[in-house]
Amino acid sequence: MTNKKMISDWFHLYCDDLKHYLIYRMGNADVEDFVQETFIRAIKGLDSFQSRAHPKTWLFSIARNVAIDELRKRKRAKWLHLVADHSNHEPISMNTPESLLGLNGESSVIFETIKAMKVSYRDVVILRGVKELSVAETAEVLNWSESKVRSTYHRARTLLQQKLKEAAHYE
Amino acid sequence: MNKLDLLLRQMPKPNIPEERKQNMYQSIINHWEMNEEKAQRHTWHSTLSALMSGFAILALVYMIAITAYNIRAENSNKTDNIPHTSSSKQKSQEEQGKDVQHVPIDPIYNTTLMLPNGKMVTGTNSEKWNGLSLQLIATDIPSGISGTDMRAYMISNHSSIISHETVPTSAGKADLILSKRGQPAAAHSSAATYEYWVIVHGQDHAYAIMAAFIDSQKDAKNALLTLLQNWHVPKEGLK
Repeated sequence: MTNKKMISDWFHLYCDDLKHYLIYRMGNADVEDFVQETFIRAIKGLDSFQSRAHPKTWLFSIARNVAIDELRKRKRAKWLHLVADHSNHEPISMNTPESLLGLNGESSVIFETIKAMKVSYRDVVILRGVKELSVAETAEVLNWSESKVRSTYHRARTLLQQKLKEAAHYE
Repeated sequence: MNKLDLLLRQMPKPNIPEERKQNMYQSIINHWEMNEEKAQRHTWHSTLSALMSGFAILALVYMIAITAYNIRAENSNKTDNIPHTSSSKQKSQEEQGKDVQHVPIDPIYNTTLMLPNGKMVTGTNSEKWNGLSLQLIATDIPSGISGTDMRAYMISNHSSIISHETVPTSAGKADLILSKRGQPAAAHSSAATYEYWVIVHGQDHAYAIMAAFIDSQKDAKNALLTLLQNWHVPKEGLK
């Protein structure tokens, strides 16, 4: 199979999966550019792709790096902005992730909780819980051991349950 | 499966709209093609630079080999690299003889030097013996030249006379001159060779033994002095 055909097949197979992951990883609904960026990085790093690794987990790990880089960039831009004007004007958008994703009730609480979690919890919850990757696949994406995936997922689920209970209590 | 797992699985997962997907796909493929083109260009450039490096290395090796060969040749034939006097009539006859038909030499220029090893130095045949490169010269002399002028005339350009004395030879008393010959300016070299000249002359003709050497000056002189009784010079030329 030529590289072009391979990239083409991967795009059609996994572009939506990558979008789902990036929405929850970045807490943002507008992530299509980052999906594209993931594939561009994949093209650049095609030589390093080990054929024994599953392309899906390889692409997820690239998408994770894209998200990390983007969030770091945003954090730096926000800090520079604060230094420049000593004010904290967040851009106001009508297209919130909640409205774009049609979130309500429990799904909104889950989305916000995932967004507020520390990154290791966030990664494992999205990959294992939302995207239903196996423990082995999740371990491959995150470059963790399987036992670390299990224990981290367990802790993250506990936190999520607690947040859901709290939300229900306040309602 | 508990409620939380179910809730997580049912979280909204919007797909990329088909039109947007097509645009993204096109951009990615374009990027792939650009990447391929760049990689091909890079491969071509690498091949070209490898070839050029190869040629450069070959040229360098060739230059090193040529230089080494020249140095070796220069070292082994140092005594052969002595400039010849351009005023010699016999010499010019010799040079002409290489290119044109052999012209019989006038007996008045026929000078010889017998070496102890049985070889003979003639006007057309130089020899090496005992660290000396020996050459015989016979030439006409313009009227009115004698003494210092005669020495300068015989020894010619690029040489400076270091010392001179009179020595006996089979052809009578002769001038023994030690001279130092520098390289022509075009050679861009500061190397010098030393020569002993033994000169006898008559009214119209002069005869010389030119012995170039690179080793000890004393040894060269002693060796040369042993040869002087075996030097034949036409008597007519010394009148």
